[in-house]
Amino acid sequence: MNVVHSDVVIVGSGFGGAVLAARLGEHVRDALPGRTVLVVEKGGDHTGAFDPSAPAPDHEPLNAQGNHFRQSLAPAYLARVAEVATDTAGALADGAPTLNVLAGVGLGGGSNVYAGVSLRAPTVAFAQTDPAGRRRWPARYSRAALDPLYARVEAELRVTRLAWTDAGGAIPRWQLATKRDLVFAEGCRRIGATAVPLKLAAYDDANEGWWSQGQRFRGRQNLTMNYLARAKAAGVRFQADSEVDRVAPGGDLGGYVLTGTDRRGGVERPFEIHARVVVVAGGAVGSTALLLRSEDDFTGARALDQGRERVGARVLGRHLSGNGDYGVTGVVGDDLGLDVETYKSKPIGSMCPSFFREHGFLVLPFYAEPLYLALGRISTLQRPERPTALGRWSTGPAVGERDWGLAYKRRLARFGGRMLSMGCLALDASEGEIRLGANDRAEVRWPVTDPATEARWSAAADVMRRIYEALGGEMFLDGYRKDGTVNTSHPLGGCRMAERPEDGVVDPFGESFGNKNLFVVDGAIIPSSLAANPSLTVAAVAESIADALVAGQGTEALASRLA
Amino acid sequence: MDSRVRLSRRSVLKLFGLAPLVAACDLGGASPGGGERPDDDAPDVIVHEPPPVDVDHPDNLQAAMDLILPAERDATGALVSPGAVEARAMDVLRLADLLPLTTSLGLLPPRVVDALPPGDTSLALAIDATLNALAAEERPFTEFRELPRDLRERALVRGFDDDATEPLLTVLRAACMLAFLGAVTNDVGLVAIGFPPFEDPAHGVVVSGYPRLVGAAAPLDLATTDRADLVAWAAAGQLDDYTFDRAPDPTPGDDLAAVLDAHGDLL
Repeated sequence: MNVVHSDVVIVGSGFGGAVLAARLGEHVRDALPGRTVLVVEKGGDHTGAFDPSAPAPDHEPLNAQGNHFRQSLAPAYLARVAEVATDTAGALADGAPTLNVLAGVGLGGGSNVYAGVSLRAPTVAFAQTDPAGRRRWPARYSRAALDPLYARVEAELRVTRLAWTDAGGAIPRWQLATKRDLVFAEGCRRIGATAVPLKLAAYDDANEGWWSQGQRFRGRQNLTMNYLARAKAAGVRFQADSEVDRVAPGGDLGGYVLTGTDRRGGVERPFEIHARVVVVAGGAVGSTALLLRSEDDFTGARALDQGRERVGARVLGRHLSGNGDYGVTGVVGDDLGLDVETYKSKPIGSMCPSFFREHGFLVLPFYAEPLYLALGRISTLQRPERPTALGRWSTGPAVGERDWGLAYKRRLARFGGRMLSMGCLALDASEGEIRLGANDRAEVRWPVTDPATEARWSAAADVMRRIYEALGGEMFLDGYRKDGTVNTSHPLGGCRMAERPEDGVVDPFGESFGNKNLFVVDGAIIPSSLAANPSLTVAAVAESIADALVAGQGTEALASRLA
Repeated sequence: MDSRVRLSRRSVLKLFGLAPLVAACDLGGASPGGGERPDDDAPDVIVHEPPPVDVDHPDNLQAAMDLILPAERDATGALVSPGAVEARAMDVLRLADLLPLTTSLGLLPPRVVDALPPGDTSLALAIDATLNALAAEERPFTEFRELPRDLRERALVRGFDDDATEPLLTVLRAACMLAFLGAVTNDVGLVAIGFPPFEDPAHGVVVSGYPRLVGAAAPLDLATTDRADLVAWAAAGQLDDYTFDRAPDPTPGDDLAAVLDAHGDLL
């Protein structure tokens, strides 16, 4: 048994954990000498793979653009940075709605797999109310309140807005939107809408190849390049390949003890970490699952789920938003004479906000590796009359067709260079749930879709269909329409923050109701959908909580907590 | 009347000494009542893919891969369109990280991973044995690769339809799809279905937005290319990059001032 002691332990290193690691680490270094901060990460440490200053290996020749950027779908790499949570029971029951969640793993968390899109959440997102009419967000959060923190995160992540043209050479070419974006913009124009370039957490990044899931280049800003590097410089310790199974009150330091499995070096060893302050930051699914596994050790006034304890209404594991993710794929017509090159360059370079005011959704064209043709996440070969067969995980061949064989291969060829994927981000009602399945594995569910969400998705699907048709093409429906399956890369909630214990798992500063010094700071505490890619908002909320802890404003200062 | 020797799938697996595999692959609830599903319940198999030109395969795995995503050949046997074998699906199948990779991509549902043989059993060996077991239902004591193509296809159809063998065959399919569409080792699969090739296939480099002259394989070296030349080539339609110096036309009447701020964020 490996036993470690640290004053502060942060479990996870994504957009919540990385910000806390940097800010609390710097605070401890500057003002609390002798205190320690430790980051424990379930996945591996890929820092070297992202380090822009690391020299390229001699055996890797320069590519056509004179740099060392390589295709990032290298399997050995990708297998380490992405994981999927799903609804196993639902997937086995034909016709039942299921939920699939893609998440990043490894040092850097979600930044290992994100597209780099860095949008501030719209004002309306913070004003959403629950069915009882109460504001979902605590009063201290609003767009205006977060704007200065958004700006801070944008500076740290080198967020840059793309452009359509290089303005006569004034804008570097890496900053331009892609061919895919131009095709999308033309489609928007033809239906009377407008596409605009996006903001990306990127710098000098046009040539990196497959951008989508994991990458080894300096372009897109992985958290190991900024916040986590800052934390390391401040003396924060890191322990990768170590999965925390449970957290319980007690331990040598009078706070909490975390138990789990250390897999460093390929050998499994149990560990125990004793801490005064614990920050759970394993992402919406990871953090929620950790608290669910730990529930039995917290009872009565310390129960992690005060909603269940006080009013019999469970809040832990509930209120999971998919951020309105809804993706489709189709083809554009030949008449354009434009090659979409859907799988090249930046993953997302533009968006259409024309429908946001009326319907509450954005439409974005996004990268799609041709591999998506074989995936259930976007069921590209499905026919409208039969959206899913076994559903969700395969392309669901139509009756009499197979998802393999010569005919299947020839169907794939219908897409070719004309393939274009689009998706929407929308306000939803946080209809999802997280619970524990076999072997304490996190299971995610989407029991029922709120009519308002359904209406937004219907409107978004109609807009996307019109764009395809305006481009002389055809939209192929995804698996959602008939079976209610939801696929998201932007899970939010599960441990939502709230003003009152019966409404949420943590208070507005991320601290557990009834458990001093036990925090959750990541996407799990975001209490609503955002209708914008959430990384910037998760980081801004984390900055806000870090500020409060350092200054002791609104909550007890970290210095006092560690005294 | 089908004159095939009719062996139950589980009997065949046991015949090949794979009793543990039978147990490992027995999905809960997959066989109502817990008994063997009689072969008479199996759906009729419709073989509707006449092979272009068949070739000999060196092993069972490649023979199956060539059914999952087939190569297409002309009458002389020359390759016209590559398939999973040419995309080097065998290399993908041997990847140490294949299961976590294909699971993370969604190609393998957790139920398949749960149903795979426990321990360090080689996936390739297990799939190979499964293919032979399926082949034995068509012709006893005949290897899968030795069957005529139509019987191989029929065996594979049955294998995908059988709860006991479907998990391993799904792994095989995932390896084929990953090699062919994921361009793990080369871009032949992508090019075969009409996608543009990698700019630098030798090194797997995929880029976009860097202009080439129409018909040229390599992008222009922008460090040494005069911008005036780019402008002239674009005006003459000689530049393949239609994004060059081109902003989308504005959409009349679609005023985004009430939706977006000056930085491009939603208000």
